Amino acid sequence: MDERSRLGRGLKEISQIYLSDAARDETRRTGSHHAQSGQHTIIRVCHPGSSVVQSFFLANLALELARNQFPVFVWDCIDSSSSGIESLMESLVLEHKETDAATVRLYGLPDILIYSQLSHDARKLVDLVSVVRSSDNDCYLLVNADGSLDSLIHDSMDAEHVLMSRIDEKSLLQCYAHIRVIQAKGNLCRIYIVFDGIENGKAARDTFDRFSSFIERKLQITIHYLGYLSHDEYLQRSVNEAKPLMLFHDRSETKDNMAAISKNLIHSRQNNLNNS
Amino acid sequence: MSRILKPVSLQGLEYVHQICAQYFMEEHGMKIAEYNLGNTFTGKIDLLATNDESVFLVTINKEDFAGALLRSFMGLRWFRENLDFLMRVYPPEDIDLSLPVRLIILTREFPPEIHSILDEVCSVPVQLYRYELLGSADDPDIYIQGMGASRSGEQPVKQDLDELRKEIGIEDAGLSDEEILEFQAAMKP
Repeated sequence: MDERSRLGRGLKEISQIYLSDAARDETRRTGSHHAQSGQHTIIRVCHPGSSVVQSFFLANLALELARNQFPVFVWDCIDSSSSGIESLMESLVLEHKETDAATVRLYGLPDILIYSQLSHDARKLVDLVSVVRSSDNDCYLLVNADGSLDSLIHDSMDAEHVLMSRIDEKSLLQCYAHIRVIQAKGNLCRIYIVFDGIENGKAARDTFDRFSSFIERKLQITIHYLGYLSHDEYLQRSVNEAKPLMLFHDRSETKDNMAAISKNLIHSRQNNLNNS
Repeated sequence: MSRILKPVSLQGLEYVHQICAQYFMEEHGMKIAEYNLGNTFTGKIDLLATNDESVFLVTINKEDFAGALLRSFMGLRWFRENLDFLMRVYPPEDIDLSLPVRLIILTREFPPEIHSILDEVCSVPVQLYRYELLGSADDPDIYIQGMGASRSGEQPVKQDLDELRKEIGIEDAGLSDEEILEFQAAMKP
């Protein structure tokens, strides 16, 4: 009998999630999995330089949010079949009909529902926004943006932003241009920064200090640092196997980075809500 | 870049200046606006030249290098302090004194690591030329060789910012040239 039929689908993967420190600490600390509430649970994720890394990030973020018992909707604007969220989580997605959401179901966790912009019209997105806004259950809507400035300009959603960038000058300038457009649209929601493809936390932090100082001086906007994502061999393996990195058993630097970023995002939002 | 010039009489200092001026005009396309500007007490410039992109303050070393360096720096200070006066004296069609300033020093020899030393201490680009006197004492030739410039003296490659905007897809962000340049400067470690 192979492991899958013996344990049930996903049980092997989920067993390690329940055994991880983060989930137990969160439960112990708050006394509840539903630690947050608030209206701004729509997060637009954008990496102008790499749709694959962006989707990889969002898929793992969705899993981490689910691990913290938040129901997650994903609106996928990436029209490439290879770098879409569904294809990166293919090994976990239940069979679904064209008009339904692709469902990621792991035992003991809320479902992750993935809607592709290709197969669902804008009304569905409006419905999802409405569900998330009116939810008492702290749903998250993660939008996998297409990365172009044009789509940001025409996007009317009032969302928080996670902007990913490499730390070379051109990538940072792209990131700055996105922040400039967000400001011009009058969207005053939080902007989080994740640096990608960097192995050194100090270099990432130094870059953020320079970047955020400039933004603050020039645009009078405060941006927030979530962390950095290194690229180890498990990232590529995760993409190739269509299985989110957070479900791998092996220790991985990228996995540690991803866990830290997710934790920072959850705690940052929680602190923000507590202060407001 | 080097050139053997015609025989030079070392008896007349003015004549040396003219020979060097000839070198800069013929080899580098410069225009000489003035010879022997200022004075040795407050600052003196042996040649005031331009190529329509920069103003060159040329010092021709006849003593030790340290003395030439000091004289060049004093010449720069004098030039800056008297710029308003000089702009009234020299019409823009002769020399545009608002152009970026560069120093040129001609000397027989340099201390080691001079380029990196100049990189460290100078805010103004400094171009160095070595000259040698060849031939006999009665019939010398002067030989001038360009030795490069301090790093701050390298002409920056002009960026095509429209091309950059297009390349990274930020045309619609409305970033001005000044804003991009300011951003680039702020991001340097």
